[in-house]
Amino acid sequence: MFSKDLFLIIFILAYFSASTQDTIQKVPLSNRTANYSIDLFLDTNLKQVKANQRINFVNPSSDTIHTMLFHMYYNAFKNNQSSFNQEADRFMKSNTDENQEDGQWSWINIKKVQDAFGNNLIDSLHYISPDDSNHYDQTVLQLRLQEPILPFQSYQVDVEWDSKIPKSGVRTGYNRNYYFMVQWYPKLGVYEPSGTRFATKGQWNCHQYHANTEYYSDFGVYDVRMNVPQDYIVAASGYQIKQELDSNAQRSIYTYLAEDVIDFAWTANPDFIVHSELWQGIQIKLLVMPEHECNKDRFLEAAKHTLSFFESYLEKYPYPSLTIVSPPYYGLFSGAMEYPTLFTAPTLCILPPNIRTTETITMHELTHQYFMQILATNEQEEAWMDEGFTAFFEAKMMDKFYPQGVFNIDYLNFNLGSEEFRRGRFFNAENIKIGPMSKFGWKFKHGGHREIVYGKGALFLKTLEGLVGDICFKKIIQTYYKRWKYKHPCRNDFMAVVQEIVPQFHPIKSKGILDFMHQAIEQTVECDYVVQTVQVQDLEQKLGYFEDLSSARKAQKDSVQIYKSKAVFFRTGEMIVPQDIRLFFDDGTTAMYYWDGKERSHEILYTGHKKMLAAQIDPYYKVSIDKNLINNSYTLDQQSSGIERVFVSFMTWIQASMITASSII
Amino acid sequence: MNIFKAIQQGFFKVWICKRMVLLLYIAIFLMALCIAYPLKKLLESTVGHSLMVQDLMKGFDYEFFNDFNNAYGVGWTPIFDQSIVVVLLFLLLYVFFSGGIYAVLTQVPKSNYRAIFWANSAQYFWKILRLSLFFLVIHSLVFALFALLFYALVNGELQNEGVISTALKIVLPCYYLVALFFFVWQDYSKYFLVTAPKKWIISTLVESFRFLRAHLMNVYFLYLINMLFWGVLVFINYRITLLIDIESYSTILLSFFVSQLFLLIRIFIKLINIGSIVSYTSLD
Repeated sequence: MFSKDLFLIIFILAYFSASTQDTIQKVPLSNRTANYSIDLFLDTNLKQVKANQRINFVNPSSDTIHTMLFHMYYNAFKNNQSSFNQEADRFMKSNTDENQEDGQWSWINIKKVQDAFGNNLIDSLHYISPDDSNHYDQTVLQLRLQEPILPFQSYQVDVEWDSKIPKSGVRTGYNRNYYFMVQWYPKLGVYEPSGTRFATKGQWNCHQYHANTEYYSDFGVYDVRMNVPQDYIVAASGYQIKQELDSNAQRSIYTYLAEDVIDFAWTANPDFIVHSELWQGIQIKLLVMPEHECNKDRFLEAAKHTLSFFESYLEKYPYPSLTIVSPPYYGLFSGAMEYPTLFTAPTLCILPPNIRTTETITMHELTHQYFMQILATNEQEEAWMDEGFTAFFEAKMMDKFYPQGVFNIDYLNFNLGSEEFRRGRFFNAENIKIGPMSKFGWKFKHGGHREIVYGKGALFLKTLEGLVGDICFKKIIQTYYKRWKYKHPCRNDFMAVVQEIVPQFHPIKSKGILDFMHQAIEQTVECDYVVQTVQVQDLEQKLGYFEDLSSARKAQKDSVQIYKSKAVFFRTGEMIVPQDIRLFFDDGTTAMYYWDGKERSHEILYTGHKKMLAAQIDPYYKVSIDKNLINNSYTLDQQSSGIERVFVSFMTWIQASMITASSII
Repeated sequence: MNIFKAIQQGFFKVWICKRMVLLLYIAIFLMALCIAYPLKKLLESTVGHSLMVQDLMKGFDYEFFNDFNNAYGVGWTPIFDQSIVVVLLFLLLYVFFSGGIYAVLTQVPKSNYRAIFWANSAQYFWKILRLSLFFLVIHSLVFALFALLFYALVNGELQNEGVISTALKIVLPCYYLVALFFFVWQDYSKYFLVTAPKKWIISTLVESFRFLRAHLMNVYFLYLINMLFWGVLVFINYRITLLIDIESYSTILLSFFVSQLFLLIRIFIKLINIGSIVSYTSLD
């Protein structure tokens, strides 16, 4: 009896001690399809990583799978003929000209691969190029399995690999003693069972690495041990389980556990200063260079605003930790990118407080924890579903928490709000019709991808919010989130939610709103509505003989003057959006009208004792996707006060410039 | 001579010749009008009937200017081109006036004021123009030299952005002090050109250089004080501009008058600088 009790106690203690070591989340948040256990050694002399990696893949489908596809991202930097390098412009170039001339390239190479049955699969590997058939591109590796993966069964494979780290590469690499390691390991593609996203049958979704697209991967658990030089400070996705010292080898081994995430990023640098605080159950860690510590509070304040916002808008941030990495100046190549529970946010202390890029980047990248990490959309195929959503919420939060805008100066009340900045970013694009939001990222061969996915994506959501109202929009986002969190939604899934929710709030107008959504996402049409004119005509009294000749109608002195007013509206863009119209009258009253926005021209007539003074389309600025807001109104009399102000200011600047210029001659 | 006394005398000289300040102000006003008025007409003809124009009363409206630029931005081009032409014309006009300004401030005539001004303006135009072109080249070279120095300091891979700010902290004051010397030399050369005309400009340059070498500290200090006046004036102007909350025509008008008053004072200070140079040089 005693021995049984003792055994039970030991078992329970062992269970709980093991559980605190091996798991953080009490209940799995995701299906945990792709799980990794990695032991890595960082060689700071050779700038290489050597690693042993165990992958445990759970077949999410009823299919029998015979192959596995891996992303080998570092091979994008292996030669100048990779698809990445062929597509990259000079800003995205993965390697400097000097490095190329010196023959310095980066790569990742699998040395050994073995399944759980002991089969050596090294000869079953070969590179494929599913997107462009570029045989020089080695960023997708196919593994032919000797033992197939049976429906809903797990499959284990051990891989030994090494890699050469790029110097100041795109998003990843090293510079001096700063290492930022992302997309650094052989990462499984996503197996999409039939019915997932656009898959009509079970298939791997594993695109090559393209210059203007990001990533797409599956949920899982990462158990990673990083062996680095002893003086290096390490931070990574997930939660630090332990740190061991190997004083003989002067090395440290950091163990991190990240659960229910789609990727794993880590960084190492001996110069980082770490600020850590527990805030509402979340361990917020900021890694910052000594020269950037001045902005410590700006990072943390913006992060807390974001966490609070989403706690009330969607749900509490579900992970126990959040790490902000502010890279050194010479590590800006890694800046402003998002990874599960970790993101980079560059800052400069020479920037004055009225330039709020630190706050903007922090809010943006942290928002990605929801839109990309939890709602794991495909960033290569539908980048607007993470960047557009994120840009929309970033602007919303910035305008809420920092109403003075992204940038402001007191002179002339110069104030650049986040939302208007995003709108400008889209409409200032060279060609706003270059492609629909639904176009795959790498198919934007002639630019415009960023403007479409960030700018148009955010504008579409802002307009949708305007058309359906705050409450309905929140319900849409909440439903979408609840239904698709820790899964891989596509645009159809989002549109299905919109189609479900909008009629509940707007039974009559819903068709117009849903039509707008399809046009914005799947087409390249632009939106422009114009108030062409307002005309007013005095109606003359009818004088003279009309019915018979017995008595002529005479002028009546006390009669009220009647006006016939007309407002004419044009739809000059191809996009059809339902519109509100407001008319202004001379007695100070206004009247609202609804126009389905379909006709190319439309008029509203008013006959009565009131004189129409002005007409305005979209008076509440709901349709921010309209490319010209200036022509959305027309007044009978010219509005000169604002013009006078511009004239006076401009005149003064010119005069002051002339006086200053005269000093040099 | 005491430099404060030079400033005091410079002030009185300009006060006596205040019509010259007015002339410069009117010239600047009219030429600025040539640039600003087309902009006003452009705004009226394109967006004058939009309610959004009211937003401009609050100040700079990014959304308005962005949409304006995208929809009607082609209208900017002739205005910008015209601006450049008008500013260049003004600079030529100022070169023309310079001879008159220096002559009047040197002689402070009680009669024939206008005749002296116009005669000297015409007489020294070509020489002052050549002098100005010479110094324009010198100023450009000095600027290029310090730009290269800055580039050399921040070239290569930086440890942090502090390197840039440190380089700026070193280069900017050095540039300011060095460039100032050439501005001072330019002004004193104009004085010698008008008061002691020589056949060749180079003779004037040598003469003024000798003078500067003999009085370097004083002329530097005099110039710095005048620059300080200018800086203080600009700062006060900026602070007062912020105090005016523009909501109506009357506040636009108030803001305009205040800014014009400050522009007038700036011209006044500019001439005081010349007046003090004249006083310092002629009475030394």
